[in-house]
Amino acid sequence: MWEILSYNYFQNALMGSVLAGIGLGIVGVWVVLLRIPFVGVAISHAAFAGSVIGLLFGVDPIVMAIVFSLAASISIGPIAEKSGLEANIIIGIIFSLALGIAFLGLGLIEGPKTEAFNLIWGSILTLSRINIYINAGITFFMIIFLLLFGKEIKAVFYNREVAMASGIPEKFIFFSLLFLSGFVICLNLNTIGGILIFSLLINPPSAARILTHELSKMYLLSIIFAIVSCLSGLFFSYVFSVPSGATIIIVSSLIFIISLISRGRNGH
Amino acid sequence: MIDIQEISKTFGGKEVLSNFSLNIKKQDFVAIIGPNGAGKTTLLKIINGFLIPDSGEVRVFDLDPFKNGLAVRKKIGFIFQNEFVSKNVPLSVKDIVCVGRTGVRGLFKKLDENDFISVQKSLEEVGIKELENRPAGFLSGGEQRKVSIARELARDVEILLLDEILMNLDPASQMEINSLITRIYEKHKLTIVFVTHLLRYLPEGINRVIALKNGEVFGDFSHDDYNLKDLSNLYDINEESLKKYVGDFKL
Repeated sequence: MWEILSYNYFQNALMGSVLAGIGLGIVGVWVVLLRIPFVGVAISHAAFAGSVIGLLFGVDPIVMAIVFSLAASISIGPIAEKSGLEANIIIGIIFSLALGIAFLGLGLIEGPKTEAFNLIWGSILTLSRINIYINAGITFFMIIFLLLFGKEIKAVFYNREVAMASGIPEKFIFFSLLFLSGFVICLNLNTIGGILIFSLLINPPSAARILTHELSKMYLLSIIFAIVSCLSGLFFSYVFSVPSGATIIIVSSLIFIISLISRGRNGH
Repeated sequence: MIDIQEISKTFGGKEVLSNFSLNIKKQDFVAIIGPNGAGKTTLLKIINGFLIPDSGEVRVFDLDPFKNGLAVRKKIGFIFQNEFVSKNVPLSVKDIVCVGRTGVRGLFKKLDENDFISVQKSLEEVGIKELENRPAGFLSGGEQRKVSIARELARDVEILLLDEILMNLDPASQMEINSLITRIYEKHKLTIVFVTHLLRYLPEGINRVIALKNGEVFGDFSHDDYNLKDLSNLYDINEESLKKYVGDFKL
């Protein structure tokens, strides 16, 4: 069994899982505390629309997926600000627009369309070393951002209006959180897939929140739960030849259920 | 300290403030009363630069609060109407009071020993030192109000804008918060603007009551020239009915 560790593709999958766990564990805390859980769904479908448009016009679908999902994540904050509507409403509008573009594109593409669907389902075993380097870079950048602006991020989680009234540049922090969330989600689409990424964004931070009232512990537990979910997904898919994405969802959901039961027992 | 000259502000076709002028001096302790929609909250948000008037001029610390938002807001404390902490957010009482120091300290700098001393002092002054490690989302309404007050005290502000901070509190908590605000005024000699609907529960020490109606100053009273008849005209309620609500009104 251990010889599998000597294969490049499996090493990449292991590193990809750990990086996805760190990145999505942190972003998950942001989207849960900002109460914008569907940002993952909207951005992954924007990526899907991008890949379809890429196929339609003969441009690299991955490049177009990145362009579309970044455009979506950049635009949520300013559109919400300009319209005076909640970020969640804008996320819903972007999600439906992305679906519309994707289905229109699928209707116009002649020939095989499977490549467009790759981002929706993801494939952790096909990660390249370049993917790993890029993911490591953005994860590192995100940790630096968190260390530099940790106290301002805390204020934004508490209350954006109070943060602004306290002389904190809350718009910059809020928009940066949205943009970085979009970036991390987009880069992990290859690993987890657009649909499955949602569970990894929500389950680990929610399980962590149940177990602690401290923000720093919530980050830590969320990262640990996300990494455990990814690695066990990889392990079970190899041992039992089952789909890794589905296993990741089930493990992360189980972690949530165990946290819930454990809180009940401890009277937390 | 706060000088407002002939400002107007319109929302959705309705003029909320109309050719409105007001001057608030240093260490004034002002109550702002008036019917819903009279422009009370809009006025506070114009003072701290959240909103820009359509016309007229506003100067706070001799600065335009909209153009110099960050500089002005660093010296103004603001407690909002519905400022309760979500149970969803894992922040302790101390974390929230530290939010007050975050704006003071600025970007790229960690909170230091002086910040934590300010936080501890304000927790003690407000009387919630023993709650400092408790999750803030699980506190009672009155306790949460004290946390907000401690947060603004920790900022060492010069002006305190309080927007209906007694809302949703039981009478005992309302009285306790009022006494606290009076103590803070007496000790720190801040300029305080206290917006309220609770005419029977104005904190002691208030030296001006400004009544707003239809976006204009309806009356600017000191505590001894303010009576039931004025209130009756302000709220368009006959004096007998109003008396049942406010009792023998006296500041």
